[in-house]
Amino acid sequence: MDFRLNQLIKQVKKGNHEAFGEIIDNYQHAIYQHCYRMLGNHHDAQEMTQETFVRAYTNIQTFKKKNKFSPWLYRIATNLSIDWMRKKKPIHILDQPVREDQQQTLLDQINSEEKTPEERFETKELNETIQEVLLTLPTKYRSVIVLRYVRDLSLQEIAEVLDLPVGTVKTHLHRGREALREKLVEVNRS
Amino acid sequence: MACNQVFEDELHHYLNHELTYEEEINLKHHIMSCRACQKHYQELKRVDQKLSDIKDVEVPSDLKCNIMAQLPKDSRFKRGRKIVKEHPMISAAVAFFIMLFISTLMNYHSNQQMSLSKHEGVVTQGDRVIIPEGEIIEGDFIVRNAEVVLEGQIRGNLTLVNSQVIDHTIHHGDQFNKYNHHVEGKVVEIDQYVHWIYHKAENEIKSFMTFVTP
Ligand SMILES: [Zn+2]
Repeated sequence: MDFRLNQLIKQVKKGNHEAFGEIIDNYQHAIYQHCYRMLGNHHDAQEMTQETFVRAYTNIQTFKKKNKFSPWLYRIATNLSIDWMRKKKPIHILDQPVREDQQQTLLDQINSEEKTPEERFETKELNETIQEVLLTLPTKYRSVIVLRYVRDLSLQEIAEVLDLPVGTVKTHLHRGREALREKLVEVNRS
Repeated sequence: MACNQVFEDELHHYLNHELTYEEEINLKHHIMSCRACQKHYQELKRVDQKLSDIKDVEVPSDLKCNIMAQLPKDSRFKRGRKIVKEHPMISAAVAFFIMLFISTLMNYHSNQQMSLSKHEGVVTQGDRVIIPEGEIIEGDFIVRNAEVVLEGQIRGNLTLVNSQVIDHTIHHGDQFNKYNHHVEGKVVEIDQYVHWIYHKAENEIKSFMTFVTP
């Protein structure tokens, strides 16, 4: 592990705030990206990133030297984000009926909005859609997809973060891709 | 959908860059000839591309501040308190030496002026201190930044800080016996700050020890 990081962790274990500040500088970007793609909005992403670092600080004694720091941090962020979504009403699920008495889903609504196919292509297609569709994925698939594509982690590293066998990580990645593929096909069919 | 599960898995392995060169060639051959797999591949490739295209978002500027504000108090101070609790004697001694050091430092700097132990019968002329003949000082006597004319008697120790004795009565003979006629205790000459501290500390420790071990 990085020598400087080792030093910093040692200092943090002694309760040094300044050293922890340096750790925040080094990892806040990564953790924020991860939380943002897991949760889909800035408010929740900020909340969870902050909570991740506070937890890391208060639990630093449980961090062992043989572990790697960044997977440890990603794991805290992932678990917190999943818990957060569980507690919060899943407002982002596109497949949920808009109202109990209706069969129409949010996805149907997006598709039936008064727009030409070209407009829909430009606004939705470019960047919004993928994030929205990502949020419809079960969290176990979403975690793997986000770590793989947004954070560029290897399958081995993802296995470390989520404490899963590499085989399971692959299965989740494939199923996640398949689910996204189906949703994108659905969105584009009009 | 791919024409069968094996090819679907192959497509994913391909996206993971896990296929060997030959496996890749075989897969591509199949895709060229199978419309179902071709469509599946294109759809998956689009997902892969879109996910790869996701751009990083900006991190809020107050993120770090908010985190720092939420951290439990810097426990280095807590540790300090713990040490005081567990080792009161050591802590007291450390505190004592710090105080001593500071007070000595202040003392030293505010005492470039001549000063001496208060005693009636001792005469000062400018920066000269005269202990007249026939005068007897019962205890210790300390002089700072002065010349001392020693004609009387000191029953205790004489401490000279940045001071010297100019003795006009002139005792011939060796240095050690120079003051024998006038001083019953020891004569300590201190003309450097470090020595002064050492000397002061020595006395303070003695009184500290008698304080803690009565
Ligand atoms: Zn096929």
